[in-house]
Amino acid sequence: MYLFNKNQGILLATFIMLFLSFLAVTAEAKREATKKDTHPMVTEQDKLMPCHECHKTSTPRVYQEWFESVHGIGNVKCYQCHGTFENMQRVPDVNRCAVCHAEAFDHSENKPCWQCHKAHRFQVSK
Amino acid sequence: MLTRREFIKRSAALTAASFVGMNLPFQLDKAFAETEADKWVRGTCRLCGTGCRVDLGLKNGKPVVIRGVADSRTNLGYLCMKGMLFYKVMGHSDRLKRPLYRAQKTEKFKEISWDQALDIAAKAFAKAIQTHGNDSVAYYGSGQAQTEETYLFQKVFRAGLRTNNVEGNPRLCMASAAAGYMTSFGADEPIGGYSNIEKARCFFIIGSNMAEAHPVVFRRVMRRKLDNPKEVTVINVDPRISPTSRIADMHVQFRPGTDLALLNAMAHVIIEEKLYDEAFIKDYAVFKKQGEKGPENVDFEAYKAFSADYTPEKASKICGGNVTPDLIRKVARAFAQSGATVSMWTMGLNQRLHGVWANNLVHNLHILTGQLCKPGADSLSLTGQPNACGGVREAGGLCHLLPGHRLVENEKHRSRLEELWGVPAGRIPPKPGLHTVAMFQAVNEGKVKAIWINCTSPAQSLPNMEPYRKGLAREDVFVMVSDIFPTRTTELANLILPAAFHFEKTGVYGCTERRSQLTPKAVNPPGEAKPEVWMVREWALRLAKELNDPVIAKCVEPFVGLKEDYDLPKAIWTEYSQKITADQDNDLRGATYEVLAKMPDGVQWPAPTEEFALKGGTVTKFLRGADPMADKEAKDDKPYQFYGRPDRKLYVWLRPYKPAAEEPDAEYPVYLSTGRIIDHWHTSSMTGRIPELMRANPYAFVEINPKDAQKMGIAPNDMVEVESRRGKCVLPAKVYEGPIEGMVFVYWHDMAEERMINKVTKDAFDAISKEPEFKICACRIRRLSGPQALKPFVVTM
Repeated sequence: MYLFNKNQGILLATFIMLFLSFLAVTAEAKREATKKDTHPMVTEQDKLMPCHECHKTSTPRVYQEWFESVHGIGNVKCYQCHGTFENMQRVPDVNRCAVCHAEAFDHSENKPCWQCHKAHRFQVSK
Repeated sequence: MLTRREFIKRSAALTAASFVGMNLPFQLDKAFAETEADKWVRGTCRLCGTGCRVDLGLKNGKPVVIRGVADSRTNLGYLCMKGMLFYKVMGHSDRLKRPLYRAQKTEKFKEISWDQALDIAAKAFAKAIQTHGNDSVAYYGSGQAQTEETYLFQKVFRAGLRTNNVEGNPRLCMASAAAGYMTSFGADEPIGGYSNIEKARCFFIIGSNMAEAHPVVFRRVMRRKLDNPKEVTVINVDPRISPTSRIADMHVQFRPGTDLALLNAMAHVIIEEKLYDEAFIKDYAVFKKQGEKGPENVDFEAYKAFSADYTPEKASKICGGNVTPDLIRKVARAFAQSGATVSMWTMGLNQRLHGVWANNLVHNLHILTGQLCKPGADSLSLTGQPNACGGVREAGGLCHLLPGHRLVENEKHRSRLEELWGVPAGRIPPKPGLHTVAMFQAVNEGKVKAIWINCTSPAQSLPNMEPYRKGLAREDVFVMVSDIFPTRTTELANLILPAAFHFEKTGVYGCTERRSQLTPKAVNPPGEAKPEVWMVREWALRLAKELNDPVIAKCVEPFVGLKEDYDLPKAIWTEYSQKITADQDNDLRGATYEVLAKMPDGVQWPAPTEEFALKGGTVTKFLRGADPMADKEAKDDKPYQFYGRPDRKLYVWLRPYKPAAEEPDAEYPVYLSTGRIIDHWHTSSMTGRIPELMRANPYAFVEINPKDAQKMGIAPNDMVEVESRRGKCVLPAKVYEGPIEGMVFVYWHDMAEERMINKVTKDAFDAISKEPEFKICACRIRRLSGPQALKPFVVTM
């Protein structure tokens, strides 16, 4: 005696195939998420958390460097340089620095700011 | 200074409340669309009172980026996130674009033409005046309206409609500071300004989370401290440890409201240890106490006897928290001995039952130690709104004020204005109008029958707001609102007038440090939105016909036919600056539109001539050689001429410690305080529509001290009810070593019905300034549930 009749078997096989496909897609998505040009998956609810709440643990060194920098003390937040979910940049366009530091471009010799002022610390030599 | 570890420990451990839906990963490193503007227009930031200068970048006529102006003396190029992003308000799909009307507030709005809207507005105000008298109409404006707007509104209401019912939201934030300056120094607004920051050796920051509320001023203080860690001392005095505390050497955390005792105890130490400046006191100070019939003179000995009662030991017991006698002595010595102390404060002192007293007590410390008019020394009230000083305090935007720092109750002042305006003598009523709380109580009682609310949302920002919302909802009160977005107040309107936004019109803002700055029109407003100066002019002309009163038309006669983009505001500014401020202490005759357009950062008054204005104006008021008014008004050879009063004296006030209007008790055992956060502005009608800012702080939290949270079984993000005798809210908890034990703190920007904290606050107000005590009331809190998925909310049509 078969556990399933023919139709049920087809249905089950289809379901298993779909499930395996879903797992494959999910695994792919996870692999994608580890690449540098993607951000891990976030929910709409996740998007309502300040970036640093995750990055405290996911990138603790970056968080610490920012927190102790003049940007951290002065409340210059992640999105001000990196943008938000619609316009996010892992490495910000240097023009974003110009919002507050346009005059500093005079001494930049066309190098991005962080080549001398280490990203997230942004120390200035006196 | 707090270490990083200590600060992290204080930070709330936030976790996602729940998971709704799932998004696919998004791509990073998209192009920065805001690059390569093809045109830049210089103006001023729209948000707080700092007065940051900005360049608005346009691409094909559309705003795409904002940059700070490096050679501006206000912000030195820096901007906060609100300053860099407010261009996104322009062109937002929620903008009000056409006049909207409904006869009954239960009906739906219908789009109408401007012609119809102005007729309806004129008829409604005329009917109220004809039926119920001139004081049945009112204007309620804003510290965010341009000076030209406030000036024209108040001119039409006072001289045209013959009512002093002219008020504005600065009553809710700066009235105590203004009255503090008047009662202590005899003249409103700060003596110095930001330039003292780079010369100061001590910062006394009290009742201000300037790191969030004035981020760019804070950045200057931070740099001064970080560059000179040993030479510069930062003292932060606040019942709540905030981001401002990160740069503090000493944080004084006390029970809300007890700072009056603390400040008197600091004076006690200064006298006991002879840290006062005897020569300065002899030359410039007198001592005053409030008698039954008014202020009375007392001598220094009487003041010494008064402050002798405020021993550090006694004050530390009153203050609680971490306030020890030793800490009070240390703070007093640091303040007095630096020789260059800048005090800064905002709503923590102003929004209080005794807000004027609190201001007086800070000024007392500066007068006693002679730390005024000197490099690095100032008693600097930080203004909340971008034009509370310039537009409202200077241009007559409160019920007791007339433009040019004049007073309604002063007959000479009224007569002079009537003469300057060319209206009949006696046209301006002698009695001050209704202050904010009284005005909305009069709405509740049906005494005010028609009100024009401009550029502000009292239905969310008034304390104890529910009765006032009911009042505004009355069908027998005609409510007219001019604004750029739907708000909690437009929900209660009969008529909504779509207004042009900043950079969509031309006008002047005057910031914290007596600095006036011009913002020209750069883009067209959306749809049929119009500048308010156009609305007032056109409305006044129709009203003159309705009431058959040519004097109303006379008020706007000099401006008839002028284009609203530039010529109209320029003509209004010219009348105000050249006629009204002439020879007043806020003399702006040198600050013409042409001069303001040339300056990277505007002009500080007094600036009686263009030549002087082109050098920037007066950096330090009352200082001979720096302030032309001090030279002109000099009565002797002394370097400082405090010309606010005929006797040229500063007043040291004997102001005792008194408790708040509503202290915690057995039934409501917890202090409630409210305030702003960095990402949002006021009622979030603008910042709530900018995705970056909304996501950064999507809803109001209630901050709870971990010890209180533990006692009440509240974990981070639990839903908590905050209830007072007036109303309640339900908010997620932020368990945070910020508020002192026994106090909770709630952000007030959130528009969501269940999270508007002004349902809970109290509308008791200062007897002198009439400013409500938003900062202190009694509440009780209880955990309702674990974390809930919440949605950010803004009002839409």
